[in-house]
Amino acid sequence: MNPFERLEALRETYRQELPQKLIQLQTLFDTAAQSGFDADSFELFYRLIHNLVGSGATFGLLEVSESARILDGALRYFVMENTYPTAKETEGLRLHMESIVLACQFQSSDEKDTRCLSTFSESHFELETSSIDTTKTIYLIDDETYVHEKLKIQLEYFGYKVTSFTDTKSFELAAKQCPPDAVIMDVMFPYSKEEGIASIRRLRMQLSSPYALLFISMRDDFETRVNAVRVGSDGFITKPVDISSLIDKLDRLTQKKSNEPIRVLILDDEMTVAEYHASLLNTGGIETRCINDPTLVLDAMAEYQPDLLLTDFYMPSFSGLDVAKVIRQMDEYLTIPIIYLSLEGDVSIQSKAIGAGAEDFLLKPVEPTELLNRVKHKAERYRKLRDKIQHDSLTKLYNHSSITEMLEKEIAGARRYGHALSVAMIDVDYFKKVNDNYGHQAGDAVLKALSRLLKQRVRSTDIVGRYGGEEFCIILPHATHADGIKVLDAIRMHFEKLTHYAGKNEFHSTFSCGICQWSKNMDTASVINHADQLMYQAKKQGRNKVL
Amino acid sequence: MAQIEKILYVEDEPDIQMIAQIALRDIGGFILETCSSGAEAIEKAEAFTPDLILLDVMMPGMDGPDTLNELRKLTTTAVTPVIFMTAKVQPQEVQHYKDLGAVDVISKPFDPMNLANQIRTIMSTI
Repeated sequence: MNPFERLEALRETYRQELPQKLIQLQTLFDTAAQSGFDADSFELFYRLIHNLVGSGATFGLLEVSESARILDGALRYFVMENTYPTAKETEGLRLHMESIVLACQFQSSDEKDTRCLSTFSESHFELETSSIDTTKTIYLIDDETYVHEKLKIQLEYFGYKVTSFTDTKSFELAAKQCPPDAVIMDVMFPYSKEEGIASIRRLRMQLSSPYALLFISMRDDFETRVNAVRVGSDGFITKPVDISSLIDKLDRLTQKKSNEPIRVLILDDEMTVAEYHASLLNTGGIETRCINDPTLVLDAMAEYQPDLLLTDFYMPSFSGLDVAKVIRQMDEYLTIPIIYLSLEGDVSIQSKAIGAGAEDFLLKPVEPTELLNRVKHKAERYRKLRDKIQHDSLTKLYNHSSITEMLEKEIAGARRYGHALSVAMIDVDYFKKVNDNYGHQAGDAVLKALSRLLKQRVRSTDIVGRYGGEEFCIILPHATHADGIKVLDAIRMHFEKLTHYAGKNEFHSTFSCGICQWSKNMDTASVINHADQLMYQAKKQGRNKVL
Repeated sequence: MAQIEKILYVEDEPDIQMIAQIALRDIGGFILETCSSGAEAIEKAEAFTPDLILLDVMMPGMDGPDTLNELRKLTTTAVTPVIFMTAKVQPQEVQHYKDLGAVDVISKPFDPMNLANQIRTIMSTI
């Protein structure tokens, strides 16, 4: 066997042996927890979990590694504090252990997860998993243990790694050694009514690395809020903390903004001219593709999906004007910006050209900065508009028409390349009762929480959309029905455990789900119908189920 | 640049040991001696005379830093370069390990196809 084959064989062996290892870990944990942790048993458990973080990722089991990382972080806190978990904290650790087991069950040896390091042929490892960055660490400081328990577990369901502290001194020490990405700080402590604010003030003098800062408090007076702002708070949430609101704020403050560069398609019968303008745009970080034949423009637009078309005006066979008119007749390109490049100085001709649907007319030779600025401005505006059109405003997921369009494209891809494709339809159970009992705001919060969980827990290649009021559609390329069951059942279990708040009321919610694996005789409507039927069957069978 | 032929690899987890053996010996072409504990590393180091020591941080009994301290007491490994290997680290932790005497830190998980190159790159700066 060559080294690649041996690595694959090792990986396969690891995967097969992992379930048994996890059972042994669970037994070790249960035994130690029952008799009370001591130094040896705790140290052993911590080391084995720490090893799992590394080995899980090394062998391509990223979900297992990430779940173990969360538990590793929690255990490290106890090690740093030289203490052992209480009975309640032990229960929390047990839940983390169960997440690792679930992650192991989800990742079978047949999984073709594009995130997986499955072939060992990558020259570098990128541990990007879901579309939401789950490597953010949060320090939570509150002297009240029940706040820790509730908030920590809820935050961790959304993928954040949380270390909690009951006093500001330990927090300050830990933050100096290992700065977090975000801090959630109580304002009041037993020894001082604004100790939380004072602690941040002290830390600011010693720690320059930036972090998001949210205060939580029973107090809601103006003076306290001003004092919080003066130490640089990014938000102030009154207790009892609404987890949806907290997650929203944390996401906004800690998630990286999309860095996807603007894409411009350049059409000019003279390739050297097209490439010259391309290089000008490239200096500004804009990606480009050049074509010199107008008859190829529609294929190029469909494949490249540019944010803007830059076209020569006068070309031998078809003019830029002809191209613009054809493009504007197509619904999918109604709003894409088109800029002409030409020597044409006649204003009336320029006006006519713009009247055909272009945004702008630039005279050659174009000044580089002007070209860059005009293209960037128009392309960015188009992107924002396109996002608004494509996405549902409440959940930020793709809306009904976008997700349907995407499914058509995915079916075309599956038909062409022969890979598997599954579609899941999800409906929140008893949603009308949630709205009736707790109000529409609470209902919206449930939908937002589910959206966030879906985005966080599916693969980066999966596509999530809001199909209807409380109905969601997930497109799972390269996934069989069995793969879909594993993904969605894991999400179902997480969603069931989320606590939602409506004023002083707490409640839980569930969903029913149907999954259809596409076959060659199916079109978009039939796939969705089939998934819908299975979803309704899941409801008839008692709800909170995936079929 | 320091010439590296022989690597003493110290790692308690058997699965990671096997991956590293393929990465360093079969792919990287190094002469490799694997140890499962700090104590075993100290036992084997004098006879093996490694050019480089790859040391896991968290091990039962004697951890990586303690093992490094003991290795520094041996004539053959008093100045041998050491690279720590540990789960993803913050920049401050890297400095901490360097302050303990390591030349660098390689974070886990490591890419078995690239580990040898990573080591050669680190050693080229010494």
